[in-house]
Amino acid sequence: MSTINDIYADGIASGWKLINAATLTESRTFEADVVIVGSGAGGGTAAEILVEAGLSVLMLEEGALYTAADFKDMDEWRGYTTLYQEGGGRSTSDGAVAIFQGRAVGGTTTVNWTTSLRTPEQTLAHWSQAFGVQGADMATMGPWFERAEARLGIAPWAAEPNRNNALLRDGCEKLGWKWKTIPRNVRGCWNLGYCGMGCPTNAKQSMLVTTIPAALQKGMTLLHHARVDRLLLGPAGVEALSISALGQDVRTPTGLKLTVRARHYVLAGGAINTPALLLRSSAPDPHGTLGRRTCIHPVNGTLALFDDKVNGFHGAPQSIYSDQFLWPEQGVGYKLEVPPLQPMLTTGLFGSHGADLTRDMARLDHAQVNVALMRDGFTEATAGGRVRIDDAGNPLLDYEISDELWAAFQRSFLSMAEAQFAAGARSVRPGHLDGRDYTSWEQAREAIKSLAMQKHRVTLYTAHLMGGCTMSSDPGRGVVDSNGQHHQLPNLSVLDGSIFPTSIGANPQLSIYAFVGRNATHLAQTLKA
Amino acid sequence: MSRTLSSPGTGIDRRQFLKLSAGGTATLALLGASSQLTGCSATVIAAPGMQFLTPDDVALFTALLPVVNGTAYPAADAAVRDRALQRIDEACALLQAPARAELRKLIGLLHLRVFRRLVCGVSTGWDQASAGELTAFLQRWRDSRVGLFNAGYRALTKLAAVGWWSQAASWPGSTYPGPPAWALAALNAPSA
Repeated sequence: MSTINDIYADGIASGWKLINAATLTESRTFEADVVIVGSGAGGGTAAEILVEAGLSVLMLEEGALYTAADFKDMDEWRGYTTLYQEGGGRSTSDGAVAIFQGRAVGGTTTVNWTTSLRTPEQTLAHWSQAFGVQGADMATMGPWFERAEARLGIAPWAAEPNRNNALLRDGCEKLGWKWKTIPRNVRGCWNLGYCGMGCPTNAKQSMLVTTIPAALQKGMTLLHHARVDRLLLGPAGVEALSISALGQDVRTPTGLKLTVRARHYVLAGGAINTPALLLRSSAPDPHGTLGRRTCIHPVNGTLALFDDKVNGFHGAPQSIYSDQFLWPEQGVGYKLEVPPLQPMLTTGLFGSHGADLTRDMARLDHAQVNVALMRDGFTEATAGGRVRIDDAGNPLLDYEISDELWAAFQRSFLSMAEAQFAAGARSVRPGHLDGRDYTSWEQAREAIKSLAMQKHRVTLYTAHLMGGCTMSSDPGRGVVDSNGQHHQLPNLSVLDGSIFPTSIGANPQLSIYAFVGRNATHLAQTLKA
Repeated sequence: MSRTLSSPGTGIDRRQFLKLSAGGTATLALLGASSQLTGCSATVIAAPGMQFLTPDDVALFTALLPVVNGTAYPAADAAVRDRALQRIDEACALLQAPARAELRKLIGLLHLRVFRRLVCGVSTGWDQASAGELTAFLQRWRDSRVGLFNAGYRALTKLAAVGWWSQAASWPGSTYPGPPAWALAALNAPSA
């Protein structure tokens, strides 16, 4: 007997207001106190708070509604092609960095790997000092982190880490490096390892199964398959949203246009789509800050082979991290974690073909992978990328990699390899077209030092999109103020990861929950006053 | 299917190619000129049953699938090949317009005879090329110090790899047992 509740089937039966724009046949105008564009970490958090304050809320999502019932196959192809931006194939404009970002009800929270870490104190202090962000100190933010942690069941992973994670821990332990157990947003997790394909058991406390159902239960309307083309601006700010209904393929517009009018407009489409929507709408940008400072925690990785099986495709994907190198005195710091190792995701790391790829894949069960997440955005030379739009309004992310950042990638190759050899690896290969399976730390160290650090030669990923609508009390430095309120458009707030002035230095979901929790509560009070 | 590596034969040899790559400006000029040529070409029409891949693209990826994936790929299995091609097509179609346009530009170049001969070292059509020529082509683009070729290598191999390694039929070749059987059984059992 299947034991998983079908939250949405039950909810629809009880009268939830869910509309698939693909099924609409007539133009319509929707009205609400607040419209929220996007249903991820930001939109979901804001929705629950605004609805609880008694406001009528309409939530818009460009992607489709998929639920646990759709995730029971735990299949990579289905997961990437239905739940991710551009079918999992999104990348920076030059193709050098692969971007994993969700596109479905629940946004990236539907597909993330559940790592739930607070914003580091150093990051908060930097935002206060360098960007004049108010109320970003730990004393003020503490209760907002606690609130999100309680709401989403966030607690350090209590089970034994899978071996992919355990080997990162063992390597750090041997070398005397710091490591910690990762807090995860799960309740009753089956420890399967398929968080990235949508949680099949509703254990992951994503927006899909927590705040969005709660808001629907209290009368929110959710319109999915709905792409916001632009904000219509007038003298008083935003006057309406212009929307294209998407067909059942979630890509092709049906031709039907919808309009939304609201007292207040909340953008929560994430750090690529929110700035792109503002750019498409020719939103005021007097200081040229819009779409700038897009930080991505760019990631490189090393692949080790162990004599005993690792089976990194099974078990909670992330349960151990190390901040040993996150805050160096010189240069860019990085965080060490591991990714899940299902085959489709892993092929990209090898950068090999033919007999080499056949051999690489035939050893997948013995593979262990470390990744390093660069803490970008904290120095002038790593000030992030830029979101722009093409002539048709499609978003593009330009991201240049400075020498300072390349130096950090090279150092992180060394750290990751050193940890793997310390954990007993028989070989380690950096994710680089010139990388080989080095059989000793000494050999790896010499080889890594001579790797050409260039785009397309280094295998690079990101799963964390931050910035583009910088939060700053100074209108000259940011798009929104410390409450997420747009500096020029009085009835517009940005409540998502695009407000962060730099990268977080930790997986961003809990930072989004906390800052949006705080700012949406402030917004609710303002609108009720 | 035989997988012996034949010598590139009529293609330009490795030294000539490296010279071309080293003189990056000449190559890039060729790339630029050629992409303008493709920009002027007739409307691209997808093959029957495809959203993005043209008949020429289907021939290209049919040739690349065994060469990218190696002996793990069952080249004689038509069902596997057809599903791989469908998935490559779907992966391309799911990209937003800017990425799709870049990909079309790259693939368009690969269909230009002069580009294929001088820059890829393949003197025939893709469907006629030997495994040796195709392997040499991939290796050249992989080893090139010109970032654009590395990017092309990444794009082509990623598509061909995803077409195959996303299929359950590939799991024995990757030691991946699939999702835990007990969980699949528990989740997919009919409701009581």
